[in-house]
Amino acid sequence: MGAGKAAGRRSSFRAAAYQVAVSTGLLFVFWLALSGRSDPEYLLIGLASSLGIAVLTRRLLLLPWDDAPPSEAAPPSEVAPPSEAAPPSEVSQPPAQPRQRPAWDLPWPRFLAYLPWLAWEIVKANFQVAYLILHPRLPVDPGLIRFRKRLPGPLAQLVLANSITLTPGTVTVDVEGDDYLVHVLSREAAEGLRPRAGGEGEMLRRVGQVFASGRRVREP
Amino acid sequence: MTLVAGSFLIVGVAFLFIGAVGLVRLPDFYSRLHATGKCDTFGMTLCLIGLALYGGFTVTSLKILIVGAFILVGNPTATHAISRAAYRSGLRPWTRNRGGDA
Repeated sequence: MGAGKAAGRRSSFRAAAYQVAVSTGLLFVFWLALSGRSDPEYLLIGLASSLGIAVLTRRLLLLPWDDAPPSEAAPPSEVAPPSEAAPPSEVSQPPAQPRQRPAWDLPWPRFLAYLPWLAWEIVKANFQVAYLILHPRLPVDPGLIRFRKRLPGPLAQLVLANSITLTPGTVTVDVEGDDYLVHVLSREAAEGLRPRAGGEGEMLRRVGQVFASGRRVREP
Repeated sequence: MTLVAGSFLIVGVAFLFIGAVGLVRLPDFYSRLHATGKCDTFGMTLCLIGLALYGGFTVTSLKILIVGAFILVGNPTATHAISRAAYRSGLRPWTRNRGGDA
């Protein structure tokens, strides 16, 4: 019992040290890029402040990451005005230990593979919005839609929410639990989020794939 | 290279302009956020890429690209924060069949 506790403490210390080391490395590279100087004095100051910041922000950067199996996305529906919007029902979570990951611990290869697609979507989105804005009759048909998507943790939610905001005529208004509230500029813009014959919308599918629990969590 | 950088800048500025036009023309708060959230991010990123290309392989270009990355993350986050605040305080979006109170 006591030995197990001590071992647990030791391994969590190792996880913490690992996180601080990687954060320091990232911050130091950032420092090098920003300062652009390589005298020993500057390097020393940079290393010291990187280390200090890494230690101070250690808790801030730990984000919950829960690898629960994804539930099927509910179809988006027209949303009642705010006054009638019922709070989402509490989903009873199994009382599992909330697992955590440092914020930079993304599935990087899949995330980087996602970026070119996102970039192209952003370009298309901008031409669509530009068309809508410059059209003499302003053919917009705004509205709110709500949909549900299960993602493992706030980082994945952030990626999805920001991707939605950057792409065709959609802005994420609110995220509560697994529920996303999205303002759409035109009806066609909502199509990327609607379920299709092949399942859910393209973007949901892709972000879900990036953060799918194929890779095991690094156990501390 | 100057030509490529210049065209990036011109297209970027064009999108910033369209964003500004959209800010004036669109009917309500939420749809105006579309104009600022997307066109500004895109236009600004294009401008920054153009400047980085013009600068060539220097530390300054690297810094410009870092600024671009921050805008790419920060702008949608800010848009989201603003729209959420509006939604929480009860602002209803304008729709075709029902003119909103915006």
